[in-house]
Amino acid sequence: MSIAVARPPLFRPADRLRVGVVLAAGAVTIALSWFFAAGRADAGDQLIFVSLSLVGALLGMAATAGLLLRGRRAVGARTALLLGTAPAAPADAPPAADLVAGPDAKWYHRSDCLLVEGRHWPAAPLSAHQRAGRKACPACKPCPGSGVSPT
Amino acid sequence: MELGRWLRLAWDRAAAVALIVAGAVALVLGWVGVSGEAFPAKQLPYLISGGIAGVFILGLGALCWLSADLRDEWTKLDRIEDALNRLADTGLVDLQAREQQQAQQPSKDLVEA
Repeated sequence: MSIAVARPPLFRPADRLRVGVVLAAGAVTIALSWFFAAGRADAGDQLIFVSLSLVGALLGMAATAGLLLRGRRAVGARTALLLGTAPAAPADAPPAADLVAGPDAKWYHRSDCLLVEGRHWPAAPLSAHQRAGRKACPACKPCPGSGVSPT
Repeated sequence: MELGRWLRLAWDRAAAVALIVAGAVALVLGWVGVSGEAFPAKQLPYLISGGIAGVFILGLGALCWLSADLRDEWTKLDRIEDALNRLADTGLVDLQAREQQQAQQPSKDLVEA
């Protein structure tokens, strides 16, 4: 048995319709404001239409922000649902014991340190790193107290 | 040919670019119109049609661009979901734990197949 999740659309048709209506209302408000303002000779009489057109622009911005927030929430909820099911790394996994460093590096690290990921540096005993003048990485703290067994 | 393919695949981004360009053009034309008139009564209609309408069109372009980003994320989640379903079919996943987790995050979109 497998669990299939129905593919919900990012935006539901009702959301799209609502936003479309509000955007259209905003656009019509701006167009009507322009139409009525252009027919008046006195600037004082036009100011009300300027305000009205600003209301239209605000309607458009509110519709835009509302749709984007809704989409952001939907993506966040689905991410939590899907990636929340991914198995977590075991908490009691022992830290890597190998100590690695680059040829001219100033620090030595545990081999599972994020700072050495993908670098394929060779492992060496703690004494070799100390002889080379390297210090323990402050991020992964490859010290005896952290479970690393320096050899 | 490549442009046509891109337009077909990324129509929302193409629409966003077109709207942003249109909004910018409206703003510039509004400024040109206002600067060419001496009387405020002649300038205010340009302010509405060029300035406020231009900002409105720019907002529409931003909506298209950001919703395209969201749609891209949604498509990635589709792929992740497919991968999880394939993994579930291998029997290597603790389906009971997954069901419990989904029960803690109830969604009306979940169906059992």
